[in-house]
Amino acid sequence: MKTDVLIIGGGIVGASLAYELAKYRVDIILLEKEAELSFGVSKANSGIVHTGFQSDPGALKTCLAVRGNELYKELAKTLDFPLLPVGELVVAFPGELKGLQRMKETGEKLGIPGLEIVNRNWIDANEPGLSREIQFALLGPTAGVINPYETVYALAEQAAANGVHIYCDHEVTDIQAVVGAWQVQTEKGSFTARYVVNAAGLYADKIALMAGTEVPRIVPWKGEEYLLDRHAEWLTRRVIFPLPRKETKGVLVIPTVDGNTMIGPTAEAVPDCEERSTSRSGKLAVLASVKNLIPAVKEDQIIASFAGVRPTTREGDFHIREDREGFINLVGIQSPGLTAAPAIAEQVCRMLAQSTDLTPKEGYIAGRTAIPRFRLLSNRERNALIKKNPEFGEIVCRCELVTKAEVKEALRRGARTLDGIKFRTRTQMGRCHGSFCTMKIMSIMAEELQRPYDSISKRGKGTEMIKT
Amino acid sequence: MECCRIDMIKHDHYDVIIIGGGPAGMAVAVGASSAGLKRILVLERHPRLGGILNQCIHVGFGLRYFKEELTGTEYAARYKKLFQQAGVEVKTSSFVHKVSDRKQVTFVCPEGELFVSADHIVLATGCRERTREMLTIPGTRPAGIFTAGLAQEMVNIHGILPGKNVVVIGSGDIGLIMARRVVLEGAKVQAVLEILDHLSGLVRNKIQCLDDFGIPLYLQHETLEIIGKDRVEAIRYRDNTTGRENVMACDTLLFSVGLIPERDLLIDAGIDPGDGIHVAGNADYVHDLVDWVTKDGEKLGRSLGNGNA
Repeated sequence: MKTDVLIIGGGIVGASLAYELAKYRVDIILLEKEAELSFGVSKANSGIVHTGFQSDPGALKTCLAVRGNELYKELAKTLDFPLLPVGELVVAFPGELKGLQRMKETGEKLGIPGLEIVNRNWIDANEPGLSREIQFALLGPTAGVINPYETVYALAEQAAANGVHIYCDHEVTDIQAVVGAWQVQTEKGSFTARYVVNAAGLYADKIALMAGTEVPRIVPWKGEEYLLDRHAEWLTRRVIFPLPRKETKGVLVIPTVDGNTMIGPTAEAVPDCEERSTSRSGKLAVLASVKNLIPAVKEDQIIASFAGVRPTTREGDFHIREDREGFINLVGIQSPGLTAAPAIAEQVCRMLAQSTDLTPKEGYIAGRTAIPRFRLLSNRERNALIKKNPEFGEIVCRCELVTKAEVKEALRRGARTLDGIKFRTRTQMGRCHGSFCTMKIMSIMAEELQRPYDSISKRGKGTEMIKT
Repeated sequence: MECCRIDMIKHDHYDVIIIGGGPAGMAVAVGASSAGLKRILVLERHPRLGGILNQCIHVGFGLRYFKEELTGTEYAARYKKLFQQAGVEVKTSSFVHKVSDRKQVTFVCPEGELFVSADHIVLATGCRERTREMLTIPGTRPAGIFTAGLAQEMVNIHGILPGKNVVVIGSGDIGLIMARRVVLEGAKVQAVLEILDHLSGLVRNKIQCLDDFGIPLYLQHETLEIIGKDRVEAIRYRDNTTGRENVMACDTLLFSVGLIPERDLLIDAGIDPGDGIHVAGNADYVHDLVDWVTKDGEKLGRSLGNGNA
C-alpha cells in the first residue's frame, strides 16, 4: 500500500499528528501494533494537561507543553472530549517557599498566565483537605485534566473521518529505504511511504534503529496509579503536586474527568517495556506520600489499581528530528508528552512543510460528536434518546449507568476489545468491576461483530476471555 | 417462564414498590398481597423474574420452604407460580437507578426514564461479589480473572467455560459450587485457597463440591501476586501456617471472597432504612439459604399490609 505519510504508533502523539495532518491534502496511514489505539503508553497516562512550568525552562518539551496547553482548549471543543480546567497546585512544606518562588518566575518567563503563590488562608478556603503543614502553594489555573484514551479516540475518529487509514494489530517488523521512499513491513503487509514518522512510544528506539537512525535509548519507567471510589469524590478540587524532584513530578493527587480521585504514580525503572504489574510496596509508597499531602486519604477508598510504563530517555528531553531524509523520529516523549502532543503535531507538520506542499484539504470535515453519555444527561435528554433508540433504555453497566446503545456505538466507532469498550463507555470501571456487565458486553460483541465468544478478548491477541 | 410483561405501569403511585424481582422481591410482593395491599409494583432489571436463582442449576434449595430438594431454577419456577397467583404488577427490563427520600424511584426501561412513587419502597436488590480489585492483590492484569458468580453466568446461562486450569480464591459458597461445576465441564481445579483459618461457605458444599471431587482446600493460604502478562499464568501464595511461599500454575482465577449487600441506591441518596424505606433478603444481610430469604421477605411484605412496618 502506498501513502504520502506513514505514522507508526497510535498513542496520543501519533493520533494528534494524524488529526493535524489530515487537515492537508496528503494521504496518511497510521499503524498501531496493539489491538486498539492508546493501548501502549497513553492509556495509563495520568491525564493531566500541565501548565508547563514544572519542566526545565530551556527544554524543547517545556516549550511544546506550554503551547500544547493552549491548544487543548480549542481541541476539546472541536472534538467534544471532556477537559476539566481544574488547575494545579504545587504545595510547599516549611522551607520550600523559595523553590515555589523560583518556579513561579520560571513559569512567568515562559508566558504561563495566572501563576500565583497562595497562602494558608487561601488553602483553608479552597483546598481544606490539604495537610496543615502546607503553608504556601503555587497555583497554576491553566492546568486541566482529560481522559487520555478518550482523547486519542476523538483525535483518531476525526482523522479517520478525513481520510486517514488506521490499521491496528499491525506491528512493524522491518523498515527499508527505497528510492525516494521508505518501505515498512508488517506481518499483514507492506507499506510504502514518502515520509515516515516514528511515534512508537516505548519502541521508538527500536523503530528508529530499523531505519538506520540513531536516537537516545528508551528506558522504560514504570508508574503505579490507584483510583479511589467516587464516594471519596474529589478529595481535592485541583491537581496537587509536591515540589518536583529531578526524575519525576512526585506522587500526585489527581481529580479525574469521571469524578474519581486518582493517586500516584510511583517511579521505577523496569527492564521490560511490558512490565505493568502493581505491587504492595508501590501501593504503600503512594499512600504514604499522599497522606503527607492529604491526611484523610484511606487505603480502603482504593477501588482500582494499574500501572503504566513511560518511554523515558537518559537525555530527558524530547528527540524530535528528521534523522534521515523523510524519516522523522519522535523519541522520549515522556511527561509532559500528553500535554505537548498537539504542539508536537504542529511541529512535525512544519518539518514536513519544508520539503512537501501542505495545502489545506477541500471538504475537510471539522468537528466530531462524542458517544452520548447517558449517565450525564437530564431526564428529558434521556427520554429523547430512548424514543429515538430504545436501546438507550437498556442498562448494560449498573455502576456507571451505561446503555446498550452506547456499547454498540463504541463498537461502531472501532472498539474491538473489552478494554476498548471500557475506555470508550466506562463500562467495567465501577464498583463491581465488570461482574455485572462483562457477559452482557461479550454477548453484544458476539452479535454485533459476528464473532464467536472465544475470539473476544480483553485487549487483543493472547488476552481472550475464554481459554480454549 | 416469562412473566406478565407490560409496556407501561398502571399507576403513578403505589402502596409498595419492590426493587428487584429475585426471591426476596417476589416474597415481599406475595406477603404484601396476602395482607391485602392492592397496588404493588415489582421492578426487575432483567427481562425475567428469578434473580440469581436463574443461574443456580445446582441442588440445595427448597428443603425448608417447599420441603423438597430443588435446584435454584426449579425453586424460582415454583415460587413464580405462587407469585403469579398474587396478581402483582411486574415491570421487567426496568433498571432502578435512584431512590429519593420522598419515596420516589427513577427507573430506565426501553420505554423511557420514568418516575413512580409509593408509600413503601423495598430494596430487594440482592448482593454483589467482592472482587480482586477490592482486595488490591498485586501483580498483573491479565485475562482470566473472574468472580465466581460471573463464571457461573458464563457456564450455566451461556454455555461457555472460562478456562481449563482453575484456582479458586476464597471459600465462599459460589466458589465451592463453581469448583465442582467447572470440573463437571472438563476443567481441572488446582485448589481452593482461603486466607482465613476456616471455611467461608457451608460445610455441605465443601463435602459435596470439593471432597467428593478431590479438590483440595488450603486454609490460611494468602494470595500474594497474580502472574501472567496476557492470560493468567500462575499465582504466588503463602502458607501462613509455615510462612512458606510457592507458585501455583493456572490459566483462570475464580474469586469467591465475600458478598456485599447491594444498597448503593440508599447510600447514594444518603437515606437510611425506616419511614417507608425497607430492605429485604440479601440486600439486608447475606442469607445462607434462599428459603430464609423467602420467609423473611414474606414476613416483611405482610407487615407492610398490616401497617406495622
